[in-house]
Parts: sequence; C-alpha cells; structure tokens
Amino acid sequence: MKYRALVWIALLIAASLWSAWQLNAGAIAIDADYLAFVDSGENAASGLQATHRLLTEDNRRALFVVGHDNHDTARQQARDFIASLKALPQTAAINSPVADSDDRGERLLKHYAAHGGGLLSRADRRKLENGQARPIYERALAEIYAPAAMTTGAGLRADPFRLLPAFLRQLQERSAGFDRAIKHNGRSHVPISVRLDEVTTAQRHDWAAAVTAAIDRVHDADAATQILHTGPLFFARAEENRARQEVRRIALLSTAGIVLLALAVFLSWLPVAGLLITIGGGLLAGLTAAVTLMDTIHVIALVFGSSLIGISVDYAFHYFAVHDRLGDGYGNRRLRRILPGLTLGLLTSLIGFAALAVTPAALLTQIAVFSAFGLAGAYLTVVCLLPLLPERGPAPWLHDNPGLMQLVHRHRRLFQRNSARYALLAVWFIGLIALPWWLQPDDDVRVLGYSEAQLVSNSETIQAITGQGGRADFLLIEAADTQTALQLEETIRERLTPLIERGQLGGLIAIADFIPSLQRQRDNRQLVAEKLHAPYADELAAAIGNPVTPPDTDELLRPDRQTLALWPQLDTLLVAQQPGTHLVRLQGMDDADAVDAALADLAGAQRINPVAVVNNALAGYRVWAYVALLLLLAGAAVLLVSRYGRRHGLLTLLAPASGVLLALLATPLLGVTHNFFTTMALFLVFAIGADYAIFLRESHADAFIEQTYLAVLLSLASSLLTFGLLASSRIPLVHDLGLVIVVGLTAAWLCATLSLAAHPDDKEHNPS
Amino acid sequence: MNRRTLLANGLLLILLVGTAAAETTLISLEDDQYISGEFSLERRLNHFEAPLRSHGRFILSAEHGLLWQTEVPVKQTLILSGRSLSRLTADGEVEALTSDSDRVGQYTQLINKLLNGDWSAIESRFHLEDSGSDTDRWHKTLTPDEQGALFQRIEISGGRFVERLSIHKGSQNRDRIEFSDQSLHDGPLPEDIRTLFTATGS
Repeated sequence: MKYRALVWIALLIAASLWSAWQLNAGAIAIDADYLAFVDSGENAASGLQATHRLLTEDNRRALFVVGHDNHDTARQQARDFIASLKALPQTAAINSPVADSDDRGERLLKHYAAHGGGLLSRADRRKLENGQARPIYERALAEIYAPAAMTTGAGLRADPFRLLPAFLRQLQERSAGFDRAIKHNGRSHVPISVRLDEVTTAQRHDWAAAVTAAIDRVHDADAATQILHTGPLFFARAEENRARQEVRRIALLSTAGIVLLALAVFLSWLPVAGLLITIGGGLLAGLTAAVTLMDTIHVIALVFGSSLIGISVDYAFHYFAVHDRLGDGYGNRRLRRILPGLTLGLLTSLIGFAALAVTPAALLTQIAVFSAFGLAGAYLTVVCLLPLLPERGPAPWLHDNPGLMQLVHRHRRLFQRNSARYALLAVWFIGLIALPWWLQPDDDVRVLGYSEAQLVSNSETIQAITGQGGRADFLLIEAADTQTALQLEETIRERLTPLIERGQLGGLIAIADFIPSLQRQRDNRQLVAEKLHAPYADELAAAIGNPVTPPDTDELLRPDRQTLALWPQLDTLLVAQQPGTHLVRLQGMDDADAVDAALADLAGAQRINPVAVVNNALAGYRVWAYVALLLLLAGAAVLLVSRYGRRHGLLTLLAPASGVLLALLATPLLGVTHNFFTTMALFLVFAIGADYAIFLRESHADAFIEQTYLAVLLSLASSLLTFGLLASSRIPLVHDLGLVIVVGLTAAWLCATLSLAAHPDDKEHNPS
Repeated sequence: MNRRTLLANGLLLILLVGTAAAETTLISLEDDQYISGEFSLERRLNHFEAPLRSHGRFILSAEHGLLWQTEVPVKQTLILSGRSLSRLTADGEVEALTSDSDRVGQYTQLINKLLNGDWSAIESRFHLEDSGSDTDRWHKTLTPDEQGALFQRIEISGGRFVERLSIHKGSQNRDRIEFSDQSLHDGPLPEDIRTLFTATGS
C-alpha cells in the first residue's frame, strides 16, 4: 500500500514539475477565442479558411471615433490620441484622416502616378463611356487654375486631365470611411482605425486596458471631447473580465460550501484534506496530459474538463462515507469495499470521453483528453493515497440516523410503486416521441456571451456616425487566377452599385477598387485616348499655354507587394497560397436577399456570413456531441449489463439516462437554450448520475447501503451547490450550463434507486 | 504758446502719425463682413516653358470662405471652404475636388487662413517671420516647421488687405497671386453667393 502511494506521489511530483516546465516554456497555448470552433486547417473548405482569416483579422482591429463640437479641436485631440496609441508596443498600423496624412498622400500619389492613364474613377469611366468628356476637361481646368492647386509640372505632364486625383479621391471614399472626418449631429468626428500585431489574447487584452485608460484620461481632461471605441477585442476583454469575476465568486462560494458540508458531515479536517488531494490529483493529471499531448487547449476545454473531474469529489465522498469503524490501518479493506463501484463509475465516464475523442472536432478531443486523464488521476489518488489517511467516518449524529434511514427506505421503494414506474415509462415514451419537436436548437454564438451595455452603445453610435460595423458578411471569390478574380470583382462592383445607391448595402471593399484588373486598365487607356485626348488635348493646350501629350508610360498597376502595402486593409482580402481566391468585404448590409439576387448567376462568387459559419460549426459540434452521447449510452449499457445482468444493468443505466432525458425536456421551460454547450453538460449529468446508481447498486446487498446513500446525497449536495451557483451567473452560457446540470442531476438522483428496484432483499430493509 | 512748445507739439504729432502708419495691419473680418476684389495668378511649373496665368474676381468671407471666379483663360467658379475645394459645374451643381485627408484640402484651409490673417493658427505649423515693413505695408515669410510639408516657403505681404502671395512648392514650381481693387463690405454675403457656400456644406 505504501509502495503504491510512494510511486503515485512520485508520479504526481514529476507531473507537476513537467507541467510547470512546459507551461513556462510556452509548450501549450491557451486559446480563448471562439474562432477555435472554425476549422481552418489545410483540409478545411476555402470558405471556412477565409472566414477564419477574416475574423482573426477583425480580432486584431479596433475602431475609435474622436468627437468634438469644434472641427480643429477634434482633429487635434485625435492626433494626441493617435500618439498615445502609437506608444503601445502592440499597435501595428493606424489609419485615420489625421494620421500621417501628408506623407501618405504623397506616397499614394507617387506610386499611382507611375501607372497613370489606366486608372479611372467609376464616375469618370461612366462619363467617357457615355461621351460626356467635357465635364472632365472643365474639372481639369478648375484644378489646374485653383488657388489651392498642388499641381506640379511633372504631375500635369503625366496626367493633364487630372484623372488620377479623382481616382484617388474615390479610393479614399471607399476605404472604409477612415479617410474623412465626419459631421454628425452638429459635431465633428475623426475616425481612427487601428490594427494590432499578431499578439496573444493576453497581450490584446493588455492593449485594450491601456487604451481604455488613455480614453479615460482624455475624458477627465476635457469633458467636451468624446472618444468612442469598439471592436471584438474590447468585447472579448469585457466578457473575460466578467467571466473571471463570476468564476472567482462561484469557485470561492462552492469550495467554501463543500468544505463546510464535509466538516458538518465528518466533523474533521481530514476528509476535507482528502477531498482537496483528490481534486488536486485529478487536475494535475488532466493538465499534464494536456501539456504533453497538445499544442493548444481551448479555455472551454479547460473549464469543461475541470467540471468533469469535479466528479472526483464523488469518489472521495464515497470513500469517506462508507465507514466500517475498523479504525486506522484498514484503509485498504475499506477501499476494496468501494473499489468495484468506483472502477465501474470511472469506466462509464471513460466510455463517454472516448466517444468524444473519436469525433473530428478538435475542441471535443481536447475536452476528452483533459477529462479522461483527469478523472483517471483522481481515481488513482483515491486508490493510492486515501487509504493511508487515518479513519474518519461520518459524525455520530448520522450513524443509524432514523431520518436518513427513512429517506433511504422511501427512496428505495419509490420505483416499486406502479405509479412511479408508469410515470417514468410515460415520460420516456412521450419524451422520445416529442423530443425532436420539443427541442429547438439555437446555435447562435452571439447569445452565449455577456455584452457590456456601454460597449454595445458605443458600437451602435460608431455605426451611426461612420456607417461601419453591423453585419460583416463577405464574398468569397474563387477564380482561376488573380486577374480573373479582379475582373470578377469589377463585375460585382457594377452589380452591387445600384444596391449601394438605394441604401440596401452600405458599401464594399474589393481589391479591384484599389488595383483594377489589367484588362480594365487597358480598356481605360483606350477610352481616355479616344474620348478625352483626341477631342480635348488641343483645347487644353490652348487653355494652359503649353503642349499636352498623352501619357508615355506603358506600365500597368499590378497587385504586387508595394501596392498592397499602401492599403493595409487589402492584406486580409487575399487568401494566402491560393492565387485567384479573394475576399470582398460587404459593409452595412441591410438586405442580404437583394445582394444574393444581384449576384445569383455569377459563378465564382459566394456570400458568406461569418457568424453563420461559426454557428454552423457549433451546430456540427452539437450533432457530434449527440453521437458521442449515444455511444456513451451504448458503451455504458454493455458495461453495466455485463456486470449486473440484463435487467439490473439496464435499470442502472436508466437512472442517469433519465437524468439526461428530463434535463432535455425540462430546461427549455426554464428558458435554457439548447446548443452544443448545453448538450455537453449532459455528459456531466450522465457521468455523475451513473456514479449515483452504480454506487447504490454495488452496496445494495451489504450493510453499508445507508452510508453509500449518504455519499450519494453528499455528492448531490456538492454538485447542486456548485452548479446552482453557475445557474445564478449573468453570462447566458454559464447560467444555462448550471441549470441543465442542476435539473439533470436532481432527476438522476431521483431515479438512482432504479438500480435497486425489485431486488429480493428490498423488503428486509424496511426499518419499520 | 512759444516756439519751443510749438516744435515739441509738432514733433509729437509727427510721432503719433508715424506710429499710426507703422501700425497698419491686415483688417480682421467680422462674420457679417466680406472683401471683394480682383486677382491675377501666375503659376510656374517645372517642365513647362510658359507660366500658367489666370485672372478674375474673388470674394472672401471669414464665416464662409473664399469664392474664386476665374475669367481668363476660362470662366470657372471655385469655392474654398474649410478643407474643401469645390467647383460650380456647367449644370449649376457643386462638385467636390478634395477629400478631407488629401493635400489639396490642407492647402485650401491654409489659403483661407492666410487671406484672413489667422496667424495664430498658421504659427502652429509654420515659423512666421516679419521680413520687413514700411509705413503702410507689411511682409511676412512662412517656413514649415516639419519636414515633408506642403511648401518650402510662403511670402505674403499687404496693408489693410493681403496684396501679394508667393508660394514656393519646390522643384521650380511656384505660384504668385496678386490681389487688387479690394474693398470691404459690411453686411452679409449676397444670397446667391451664400447659397454656393451652403451647397459645399460650410
């Protein structure tokens, strides 16, 4: 016994050192991003990869609006704020009308001027196509003779009809509205778009905290200046802060509750220490498996895994509650008494985790690995270490307590009554038929989290001011090569422009807007030569008193690195390693049907709603969770039937299965959303519920049935305490998980004595 | 009054008149005042042998901005307001020629500030130097504080009104604008002119 304990202690010490070293070396990354649900691997569909890419990029972006009644003050405050943003190490790029505009304007003009002649704004192209070249000629004269003309000799010679400035103005208007200060409700607003480096979630949150503090400083110094901020990273930080507060509160209260419960029942710190050692052993085993077998673990896998190995509390309660009064030194004998039930309970849970692990969803595999190793670790801790502890049984007031015995007796006889059996049968019959209609899955990721009211308000105001935000759909362009993709984008622009003009679509950003296709550039040159130079060159020459010659450059603008570097937002619209696969961002989409109709017959363009992609991924996870749950039921049935025979095996199985069924039937009435996460909670209901039934079944014939029943009651009380606190959370996801488990476990406990039903010994246990 | 007293009073009078003349400064336009006058612009551009010349009439309002009506070589009406430069099309519509972030927008704003004598705003981005003055004229030279600025140097001179503006853009590109026949008007802008400014959003 001592040898076994020493080996296990040595293993736990080695595991803790190994885990600490691995965590310190960054061998495993903890992912807190819901994007982890979107499969972005090499084999994933391009739509999924694109969604992942776009959402990853969005998570690195923040949008600010600096507002003031005075236009110049708004610009100056925006400049000052930009300086504080630049001082943060995570800031990669800033886009704003007041950020480096002198230099940026010059760089844009220089780069595009080298490719003049092929670049036309949409309006100019329309005019030339319709034979309306005169307004373009007159506009050129206005620009040339304006008192505030930036025209240089070289610029005028290369572009005598001043087509390039009009093209660049169009680009600035289309580049997400970040190149203009905006008047809204009589105030001037300067938009600032910020892109972060590829940093960790924690570093993003640090950045958000520093930025929030900088905004507070500005507001404190000048109440007339208002800085609004929005972006997924601010929402994520607020959500994480809220979750952290709630988890801290729940962990503190539930731990205190369980400790008090154990103290009240055992009147000793020793079982409390045993409980904590068991939980610690389980957590350590789960963590060691995670850092050894995985590169990344999602925070949801950690939370679920930690909850599942909370089952280990049941093992410890079971060990301490089954008290034989033999005194110290008989730990092994005590262990042998409960070992079959403990082992069967573990095996049942492991079947569930194995079923999860065979699903193709990475998140479920992570949960399975963490939980399986964690639970096995808790089991081994009970087996190896608890027998070494001195004997501490339940308090004297619980020994042969008539109340407890009465409860055991009544509960045991519950399913000997026909009414209870028929009622349960009716629930199963009606439940199985009604379930497909009764359950209304809602996989919408947006309803899971807690959104801070101030951030939501900020986001809505920014959307009203800039026209940005709202639904972030995009088009996936799949063409044979880059140039074909650009031409397709030009067709899309033509088709969607009427929708933009009618307000059904806020706008769109496509690479072809910034880098027209070579075909479009050649067409433009021909158009300019025929419709503008030929009829108006002489007239212009006379007006400026100098000769006018056509542009002498043959160079065309291509989507090379230099050009793309001028527009950071284009980077996200290229899908790496797939030439011809582009994205087109749709902004402020009010009418998705109109967009679909406009593009209906266009091959190679597919509209994608990122939220729908994530929701579909979650729906897929939910279906896999169903499959895993069914596999768990089948595996547990085989295990229990082989141990208890067909009748009692199936009755033992029926108890946790009824917990699952009743949770599915009852929780929608309490407003719980049925989704992947609440389906996963059913694993917990089944695993803990199975322990109740198995523990009772294992001790049905011995003198320890009341003590086993006490262990089950303690387990139920600790679970209701923990998960009842979860149900009090303001985070919808946490709240729903708590409710499902509370309802399911209560039902599983009620049905737990099914495992004892119709046993010949039943009548002998009637205390009366 | 003896001769010495007369002499002293005479000197005092000369001194006062002289002081008054030396203090000739650019008039500060009130919101309900505007200036009208004529301009001639000579624009020298590198690679172009002949300078580009134009002349016409202008109206300057502190509240609304600058209306620039070219008569030669072509008839054009331009509206400079805040950071926006617009033109009046043949159809009577106002067409924007700037976006808020581009250099023309910044230049437009600077021109308005220069003609309004808004030196405090200009001083935040330029080094301002009084480059000599006589009894009824002043001269100022502006050099940008930062590298990569729009201009190398700006020279501006005038009396009650700005009379000459020379803008050196580098690479032999230079503008010279002369203002003449200027007069100050009390009262609001004529309705048709104000409508033009309103159409630009000013």
